[in-house]
Amino acid sequence: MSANIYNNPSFSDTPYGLKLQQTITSSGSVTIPSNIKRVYAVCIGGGGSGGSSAQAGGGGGAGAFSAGWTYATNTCTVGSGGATVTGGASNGNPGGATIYGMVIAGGGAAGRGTSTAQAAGIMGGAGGGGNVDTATGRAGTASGISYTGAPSAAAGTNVGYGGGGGTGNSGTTAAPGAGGAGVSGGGGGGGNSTTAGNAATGGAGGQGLIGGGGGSAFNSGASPTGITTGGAGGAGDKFAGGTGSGSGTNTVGAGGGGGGFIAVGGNASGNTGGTGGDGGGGGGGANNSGTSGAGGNGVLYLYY
Amino acid sequence: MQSGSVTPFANTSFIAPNGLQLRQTIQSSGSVSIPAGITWVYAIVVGGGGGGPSAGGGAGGLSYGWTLASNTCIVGAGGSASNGGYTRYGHIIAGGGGGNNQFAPANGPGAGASAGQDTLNSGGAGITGYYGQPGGTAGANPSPISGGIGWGGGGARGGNASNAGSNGGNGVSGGGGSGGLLTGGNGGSGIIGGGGGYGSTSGTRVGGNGGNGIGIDGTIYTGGTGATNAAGNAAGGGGAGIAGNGSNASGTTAGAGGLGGGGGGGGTSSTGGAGILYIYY
Repeated sequence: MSANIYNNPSFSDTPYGLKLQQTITSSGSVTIPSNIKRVYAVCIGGGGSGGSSAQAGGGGGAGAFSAGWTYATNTCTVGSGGATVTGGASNGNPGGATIYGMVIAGGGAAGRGTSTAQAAGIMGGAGGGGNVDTATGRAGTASGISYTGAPSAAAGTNVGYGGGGGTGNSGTTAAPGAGGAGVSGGGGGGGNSTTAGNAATGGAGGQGLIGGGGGSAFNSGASPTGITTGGAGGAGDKFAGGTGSGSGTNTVGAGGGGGGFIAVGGNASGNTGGTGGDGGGGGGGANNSGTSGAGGNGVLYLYY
Repeated sequence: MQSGSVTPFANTSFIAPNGLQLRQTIQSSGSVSIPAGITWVYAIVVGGGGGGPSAGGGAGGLSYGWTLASNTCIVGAGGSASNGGYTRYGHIIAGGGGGNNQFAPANGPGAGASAGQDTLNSGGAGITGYYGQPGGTAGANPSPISGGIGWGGGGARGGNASNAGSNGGNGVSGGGGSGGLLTGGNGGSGIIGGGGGYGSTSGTRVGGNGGNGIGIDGTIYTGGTGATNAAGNAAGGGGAGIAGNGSNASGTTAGAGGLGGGGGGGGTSSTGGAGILYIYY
């Protein structure tokens, strides 16, 4: 009997009757049996890394999740998580896109660490968190339009397919924005208190199927004593985000990594942000010129 | 991998998938239990409706599709003089409707927009859908004063002491009607209805009706009627949800949006309908 819409799942939008056949975590060649012409692919982009600021860096956005039918092909690209940055004057790095055939998931946007804005998320990737430098709060970024065409979320704590990146804030009492929630959570903003005795907490990463990285915290008052605590990484549906570091003043305060699709986000330590969980979690932001958390690596699932 | 007893057939339909059964209807956030062996499910998600207070709230968004089975969900609450909450299951997400006279709610895919305020301000544009379907244009000053048709209907331009309210745009999720002189605008109709605006100024005033909706089984749900009030402002009726009628307004008290994302009417105590999640497998 010849294949038609009633007996062949590759003509429908359903992954019915299929098995998960391959889980791929690095770019390269793919071997598909010769009789399989179409496969159903789930792509997750890499998470963005956090920013590193002399004061408070923003968290990275989570990588996108895309799913759909594609022709079978013998190669793939799996996006790496954004690499760490350090030194107190660097934006993070965006996560890489994961691509198989005609299914593509963008990486999460980088967290911000400087006065120069970073790029927005692409193809469903969440926005990165804004930072604080020279006691000035900076905006985060928007997310990207998704693979299906769902709209971008604007920068700030805005819900979307990919959430917006939270806004950095500096004031007598730090009030940074959390990352926006969504399928992929946005990075949290960095927070700075200008009053020596006031505590400061970074913005939490946005929750979602995949969580964004937490923003970091700083106190720029003279002879500061206020406790600085990094924002928690956003919780993923399957895995938790990491905790921000705290219980000190400026020697701690980095953000936790966001929960990925296949692993938990890492906890922050001192001025070092937590690593995003593999499967696209966003990395935590670094405070006080520390090292940011890397984004979680992407992944590719093939069903046929 | 789906078990043989619940495997869908190939010709799945647009919203209610042929060959699948509706297994769970969920009205609150929390854990979800999916039987072992079911790894993919089909979800229809509806965000919470927006709430007034003077203009009608926009309807919650509607999104649908296949997603990996998950053991948790988020179901959006209806807004109370605020935007509705978003609803998400796996990677299917729908935004809440606009409320509190917001011009442009940035609250996720597919939501209707709320109406403008009462001073001839433009309404909010409807929000783009999950699959990229465009939203409706905003009601504008001087024209067109009604919201445009779209996946998320556009919000109406606001009225004032010399201008009646205007209607929210129709769509899958209707936009909110605006308030104004004597007569409030009607909420937009669709699968989920927007809230009606309130009638103001003096004399006998009439609130706008909420927009109508359609349930997943084809049931027609109706929007609530606007109030008639000679002694004060007249509130608007609540929009119908995907799972329930909108409430009628009474005096200055707005009608609540119906279950499943209906927009709250314009008036006091305006509340949108709660979101809802349907899972098929």
